[in-house]
Amino acid sequence: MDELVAAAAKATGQSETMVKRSAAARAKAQGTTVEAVLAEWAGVAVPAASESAAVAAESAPAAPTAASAAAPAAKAALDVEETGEEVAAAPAPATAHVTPVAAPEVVPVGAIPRWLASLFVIVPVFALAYVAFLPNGPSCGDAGRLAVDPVSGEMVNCDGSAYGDTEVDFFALGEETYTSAGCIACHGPGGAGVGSFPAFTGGVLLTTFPEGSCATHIEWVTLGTSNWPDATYGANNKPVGGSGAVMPSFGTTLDAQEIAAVALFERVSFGGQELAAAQTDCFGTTPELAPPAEG
Amino acid sequence: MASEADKSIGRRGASALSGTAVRLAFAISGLFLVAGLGLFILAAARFVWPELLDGNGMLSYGRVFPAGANALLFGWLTVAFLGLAFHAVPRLVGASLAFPLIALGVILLVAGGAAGGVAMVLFGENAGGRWLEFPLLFDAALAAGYVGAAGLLVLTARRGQHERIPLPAWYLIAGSVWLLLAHVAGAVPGLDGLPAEIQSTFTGTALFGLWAASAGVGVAYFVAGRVLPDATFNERLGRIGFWSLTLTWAWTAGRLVQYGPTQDWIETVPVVFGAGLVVAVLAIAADFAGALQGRWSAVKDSPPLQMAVAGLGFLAVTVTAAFVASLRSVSSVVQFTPWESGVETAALLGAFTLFAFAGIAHVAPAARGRSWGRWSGRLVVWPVTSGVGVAVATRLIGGLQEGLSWLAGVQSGAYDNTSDGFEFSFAPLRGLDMAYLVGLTLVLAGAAVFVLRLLSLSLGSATEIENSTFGYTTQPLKTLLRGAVAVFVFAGLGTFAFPAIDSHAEASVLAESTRNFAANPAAQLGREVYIREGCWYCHTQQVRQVITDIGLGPVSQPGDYVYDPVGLAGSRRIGPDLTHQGSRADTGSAAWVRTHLSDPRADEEWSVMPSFRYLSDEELTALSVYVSGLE
Repeated sequence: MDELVAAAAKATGQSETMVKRSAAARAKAQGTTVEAVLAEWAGVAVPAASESAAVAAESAPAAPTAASAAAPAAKAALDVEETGEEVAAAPAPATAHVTPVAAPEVVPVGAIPRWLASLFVIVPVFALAYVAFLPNGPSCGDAGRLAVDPVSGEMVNCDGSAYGDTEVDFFALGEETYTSAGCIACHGPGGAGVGSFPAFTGGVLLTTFPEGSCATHIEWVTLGTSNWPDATYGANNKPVGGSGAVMPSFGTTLDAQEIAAVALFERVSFGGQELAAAQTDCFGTTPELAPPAEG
Repeated sequence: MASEADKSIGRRGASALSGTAVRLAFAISGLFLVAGLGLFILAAARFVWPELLDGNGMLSYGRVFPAGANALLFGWLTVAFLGLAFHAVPRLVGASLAFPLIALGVILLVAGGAAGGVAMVLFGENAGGRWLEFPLLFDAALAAGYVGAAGLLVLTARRGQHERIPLPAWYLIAGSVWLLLAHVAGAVPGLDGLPAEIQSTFTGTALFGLWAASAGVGVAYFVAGRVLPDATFNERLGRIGFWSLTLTWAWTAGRLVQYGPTQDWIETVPVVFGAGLVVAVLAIAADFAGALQGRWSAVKDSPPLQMAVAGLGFLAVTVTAAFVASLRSVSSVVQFTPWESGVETAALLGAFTLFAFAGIAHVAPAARGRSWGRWSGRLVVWPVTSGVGVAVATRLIGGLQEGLSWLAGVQSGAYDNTSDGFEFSFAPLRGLDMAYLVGLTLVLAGAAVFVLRLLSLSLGSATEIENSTFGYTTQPLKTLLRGAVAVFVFAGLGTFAFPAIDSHAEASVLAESTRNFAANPAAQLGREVYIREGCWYCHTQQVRQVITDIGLGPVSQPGDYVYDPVGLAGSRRIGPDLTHQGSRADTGSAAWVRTHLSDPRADEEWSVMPSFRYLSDEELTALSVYVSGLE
């Protein structure tokens, strides 16, 4: 018993009287014996002391680190209970040379896991950098943020244009549609016509559908020969189906915007109309003139 | 030593009285838990069966939801944690509880204040402002109780045998001080509009982080030290965990106004502190993991320890989901969706409730010389953790789903998030709402088992609980209190005072033309009804500068709110935004609003709004004048 007290006192760095008194209190609280508590603090095993000690006794002599891990724990407990002194952060050296208790693998008191320690450095650095570089958050266009129109108060794109009003290149759309919809097969890649199918070049196009009458041009492409209501079409009153060729009704396969774009492309590329004039001619000043076709 | 301990515990009569205060707190808080959960479930059921008990004023969502939330925060958690503090702090500092008769009074005052406040909310006397709903009288009762609680705990610590007090007592003593200070911050008078909105976000965040989370973690440390007397906590992690958790949490309040009409810097702060908060919780979790290493079988055997560990898990979920939502790119999608409700559920019903369970399940049986029991432990832990897990998951998933469909509608140009367009993002959530309801019901089942077991433990004779020693890190009381006040003042200045001053603005043109009701008594009454009936729990009045809000009209400015007596910007869109409701061609007229208020599903069958036909004719007309006047 005295040996144990001495060992425990040495391991915890406290006086023998204090260790004895603390052990008595702790034993009472835990429902174990004074010897068991002392043994635990001293880092040695006594027979039938406590379950963990008994198990530990069976195991092979453990490394001295096990004992040194147990010592500060005991010391911390002592401090809280009796002395009220600052708890030492550094582990006290263990000197007991009797069978050491195989303490569970705990992180030594005071040590912080390395991953956590690095987080404590990284996160504040990240935080300060974030505030320093982005005190007002992401700039317009990032993270869902838009600009506000100073007059209306409504949200607009970052360049001040209305949201959803994306600029469509109607000429490019028309050029693409001219090929994809098959216009090219009959009217030729250069608009010179194929066989009995009419050419657009050489002023032909703008003779039939002069400047300002793109709407008629669009109507012709939409309806075709079979749906055209009159016997003639165009400014020069060409007979419908006169050349023996059939113009298909593209209203069933293309939408209004694509048809208007094709008309624009033909008028500019083959008819020689100015792009800006043709755009006004075929699309008007507002995009609403060419809404997407229903169905 | 034994004789010293007896002396320190004091006279037996006083000790028995403090035991009575603790047991009374447990019993009362248990009743609040069941009542609060019941109200929560009723509110959640409205999403699935909108017609259920419709047209009854007391059961209107705008009353039931806040009543349930307040019953849980003030009635259940606050009373339970105060009871646990009255039990644990004397044992941690080695002194008997100071003035146990006052402790009994504190419990009765707080419970009475909470019960009265909840009843007033149910009767339609909501004062406005999230977590500030109680009328003045009941606030005063709570404040008086908090003064008593903080005073008693500090006095008890000063009487203690030791100059230095151990870690769990830091959380409980400082928490009680913060509870009082947060309440005082919420009662600062004279704020309106946006500053009032900031006040309520700060108070709510402080009540969660500085009071409930603090007290909960303290209880978890106390329980772990009791169940495993040989466990060694890491001194440095304990210190770091305490100071970093409490330093960061209150600073995250700005998350709730992300992208809103407040200044941008106010919304940057929670990103920074939210990240710190995640690390703080990791430190605490690492401390527990270190202490429990090699003792996991003890967790299996001890219900209180299981509850504490599960609580820590939900605490991690809470702070992670909150941090993610404070990032602007995420916020622009999930803000105003069920996401924030997921964060709240994880905190209130997950972390805090399980911490309180852990404490009570340890303390209540010990007073009878018994233990909680393995099966009654399992019957609480499994339903509650799985139920909260399901509930939180449905809220987070639902938040993402709704936010993304708001975005999809605007980006495709197919619909905007008003009137009928709102249906496309709202109606698909029915399935998740159903699962949420099931989750909450599971929680209620676990809570019912808990309360029954608690009541069964009240039978039988009391035994004295022994004082014992603890292996925690310590610090002097004076240092703790100075630090606690500094933490609060620092956070209060940074996330309440400065933002409130910075958000002060001159009345905007919009405010002058559509929100100034000096000469419009009908609209003024309508706004009162709007506040009292809690319309603002489901409708925002703010258009943010983000893609999701395209089509809602002009973006909200700080000056738009100057005439609102309380913050009405709102934080959730269960229904569409109302900032410019009066400008809508199809649904903006007073006549349409009035019809919709009295029979919400006549026109829009997907609506989950309660019918307000229980209001008087005058009130109904006034409310529709107010809402249709918001142009």
